[in-house]
Amino acid sequence: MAGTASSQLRSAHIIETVPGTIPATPAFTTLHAPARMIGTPQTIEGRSLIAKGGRLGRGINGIDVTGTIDDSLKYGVYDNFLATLLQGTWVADVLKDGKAQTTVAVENTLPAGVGGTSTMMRFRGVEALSGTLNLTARQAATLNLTLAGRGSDDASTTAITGATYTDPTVSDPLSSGADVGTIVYNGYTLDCMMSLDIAFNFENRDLQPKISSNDLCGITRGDFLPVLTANMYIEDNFMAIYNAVRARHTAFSVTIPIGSVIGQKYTLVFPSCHFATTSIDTTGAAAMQNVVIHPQHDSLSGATVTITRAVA
Amino acid sequence: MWVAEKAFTGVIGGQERAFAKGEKITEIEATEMALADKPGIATRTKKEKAADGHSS
Repeated sequence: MAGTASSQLRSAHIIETVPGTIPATPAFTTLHAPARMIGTPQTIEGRSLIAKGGRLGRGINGIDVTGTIDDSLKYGVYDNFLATLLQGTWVADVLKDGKAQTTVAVENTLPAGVGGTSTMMRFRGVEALSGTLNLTARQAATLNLTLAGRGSDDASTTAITGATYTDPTVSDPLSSGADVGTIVYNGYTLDCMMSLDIAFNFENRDLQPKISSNDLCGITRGDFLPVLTANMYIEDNFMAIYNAVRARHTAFSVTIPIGSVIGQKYTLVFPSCHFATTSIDTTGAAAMQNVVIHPQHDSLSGATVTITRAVA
Repeated sequence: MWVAEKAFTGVIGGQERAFAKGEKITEIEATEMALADKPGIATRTKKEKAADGHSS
């Protein structure tokens, strides 16, 4: 029997109703890119005088569940993971950051060798702790998520009764070119942008270990502190932003439309933002203005970011 | 009787089975996979004499 190829992995997920519990007869949706989940036992290694100070005995303190997803952005495919990241839920195709416990279960299935028995590794209570959406000219829009879970199960060859697996309907990756609409900083005219990095950062979004279990109690909701970093060419509008950064300035909204197919577009809105810093970079052939933006909570929308999907 | 709206894989009797788009699904299979609670996967057809002996 030949060894299994990495591309034989089936990575599937489902939103959980109860965080940490895989729903009965689950309707899994598969992923184009793997949710690379790892269950890492935290071992206690005994040392003993009986072994002349060497190892003797072993125990388990708990099992950490971590993972990543790295893929080009594809419309609709990662919506559930975005909901876990922002701790919100999609309501009428709108997602806002919140403090909800939105989690998914991840099941990774590998044949045990080519033609071998399908073996399932299941991870429960998984959420994205942080993420980055990167738009760079001439490159695909990319989404990178750092995952953590509340628990995991022993690998098994027993399928979940009544489970179904459907593939995502969209497979086209979104580009950073024609698939990105006009980015707007309200109140500013923007020069050409070479790249925009949207970092969905959190502070204190920490694991909550507990006694009596290998699983977590939960994950601390943490503080949402996103950062937008734009790399812009120096043109006739750079001075307005350069000088605004240096002084108290009125909060402005940032709107980022992504997608070019009607009904398969996102609009990301950070309704209230301030410039944090800016710098001029002349190390390359083209002089560039690096602009760092700190979105803040917007009382009107009740959120720091609002993502709308299925935009016409 | 049910008809698959799209291709999917379901677990029937502990074994995975691939269903093609348009493939018929018996009432027993649909019940095991809880298709009534999974919109977009399969559609229940009009009531007819089902081949599996169950009304559908």
